[in-house]
Amino acid sequence: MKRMNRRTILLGGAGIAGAGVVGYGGILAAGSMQACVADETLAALSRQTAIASLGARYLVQAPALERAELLDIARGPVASVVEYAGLMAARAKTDFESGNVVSCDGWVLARGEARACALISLTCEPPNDTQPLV
Amino acid sequence: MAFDSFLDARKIEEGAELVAEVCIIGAGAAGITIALELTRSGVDVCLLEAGGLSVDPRVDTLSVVENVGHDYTPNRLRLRLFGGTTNHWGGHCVPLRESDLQPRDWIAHTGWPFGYAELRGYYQRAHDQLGIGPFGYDPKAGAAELGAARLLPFDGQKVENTMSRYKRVRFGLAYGDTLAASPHLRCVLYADVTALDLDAAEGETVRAAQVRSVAGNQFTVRARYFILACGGIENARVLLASNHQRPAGLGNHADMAGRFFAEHIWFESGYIVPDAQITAYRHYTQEIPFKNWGVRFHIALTSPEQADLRIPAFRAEMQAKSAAYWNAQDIRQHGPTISALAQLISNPFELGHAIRCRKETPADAFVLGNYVEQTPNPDSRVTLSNTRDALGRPNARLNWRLQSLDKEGVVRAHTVLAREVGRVGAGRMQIGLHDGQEIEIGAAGGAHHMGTTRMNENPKLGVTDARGRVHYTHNLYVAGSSLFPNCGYSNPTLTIVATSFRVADAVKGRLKEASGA
Repeated sequence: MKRMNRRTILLGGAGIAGAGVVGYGGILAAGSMQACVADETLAALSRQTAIASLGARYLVQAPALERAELLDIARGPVASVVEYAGLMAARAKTDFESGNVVSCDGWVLARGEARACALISLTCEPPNDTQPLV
Repeated sequence: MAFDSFLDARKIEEGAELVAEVCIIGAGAAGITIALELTRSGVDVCLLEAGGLSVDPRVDTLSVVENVGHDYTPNRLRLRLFGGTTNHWGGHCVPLRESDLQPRDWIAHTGWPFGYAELRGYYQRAHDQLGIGPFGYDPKAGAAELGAARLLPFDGQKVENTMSRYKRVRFGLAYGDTLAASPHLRCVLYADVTALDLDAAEGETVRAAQVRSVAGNQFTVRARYFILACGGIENARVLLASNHQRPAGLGNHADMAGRFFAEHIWFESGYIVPDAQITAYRHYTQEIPFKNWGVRFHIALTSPEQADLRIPAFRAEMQAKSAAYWNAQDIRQHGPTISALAQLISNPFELGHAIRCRKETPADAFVLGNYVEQTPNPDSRVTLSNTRDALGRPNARLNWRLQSLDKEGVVRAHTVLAREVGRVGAGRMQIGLHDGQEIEIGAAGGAHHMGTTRMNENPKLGVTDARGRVHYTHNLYVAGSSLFPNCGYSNPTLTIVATSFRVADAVKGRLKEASGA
């Protein structure tokens, strides 16, 4: 039986919610894993780590006010964080159309999806503390 | 490949004089196109080729280029044999865009001396010669003909899909028999033109081409018209080296011969994760056979966007790569980036394998092979070297130089491209450039030597007029990409063939005029 942690739930929620970087999965930041990593759990872990790394990068470069806002949101209940991250990711098209984009490690992302990544990174446990998923 | 009627310059008697109506110097795409066109019209042609029917190291030593500019290997890119560089041509056919021929106020020295409407008809003739079907490059029509091939969803506002045709026509092999059978053609192999003689020092009529072979013998070819068609470096070299009557050489009255050497700047950078499996876009990463040729799709900035950004023409060819391999290369070259480290943590097997084995893993993304127009630069030039070849001629010295806009243009183009990739839902793009200095270090060329005898109706601004006739000569023409005042992003061979038809028409017109008179 799989035990879902906070990070897994958040990623799943944001991914289901829609478009953007979460939808592109780990290949965006970390390269291919789907093709060669057959194990679903490992693939999911990879995707989360990659997206979280982008999010962490965005947090470093985000304005202080925005960073504080994201930290505040991340402290909230999981359900509301999931909802918020999903909404952010879903705004990708609008953000791109209005030029509301950011650059993280060279990747040009909609600001909303960068914020969603940041929320994911804020809810990540350190790698050593990763709970076994099986 | 016998071509029995071809002569060997090494066996021509010392001091002999050959006579023809037209002497064409160089048997590559331009020279062979003109030879075919003129002989079809019954014009007597003497076609001189510096090489033989295969690569000959002795011949190659007669055209060693001294490179003093941007890191470059010009000597590896040229071929001195019948058929010229079409013997290693990739077969990439794509026309210039209408905007490429127009002057651009943000790039100095741009603009062709004639418009697209005139070139259009010659493109169709080039298509007929190359056997690549009717003139047409609409990617939507091409995708439909391939059976509803999926196009990246660019809407054409800022970024557009483009389509190229491919056919590796080796001109020597393809047209050698026709030329050999023509009663109007005399082709001389191993015939290296060392200088062009005017009828008098102050005259404007070229009387003869001085020819030597690797065997050391020398002879002349007299003709009513001469057409120089031996490539972007060698055309300039022959004009400059013909300085025994005019000290600056021919066509160099305004110190323009050899200037404006241009290449297509090729630089691999940028990474797109597409909206679908890479296999759905295989017609972007490889040629797809279609009828008697191949087609492949690329992406480019539209002409209006190029104008808005005030940059040169930009196109990117896409190569299928695995992200792991790409990251592995990045780590090897620059040390680990955050994303590469993330992958190393998350997926040690694949990236580790790519680093250790330097081997591709399944492709999941596009790496961009950027293909960019070089802005015309008078300081990028071919001159004569102080060193000489075995025949005593000065070697060519190449100083290929880029300008800041050449580099900045790619950075600006990538910024727009990455936003458009996201906006239209084509995927996401990672920009690998920072300030463009990476291009200064890493740029290669497309093996296209252009611009050194640029056309301009004003003799102060060009080497030839709009028809390719060298200024202040009556009967000397130039053909090939050395005529191009600016080059767009399009591979040059189709335009070389098209403009060569135009030069052939000009010479035919002169001959007809003279016979009528």
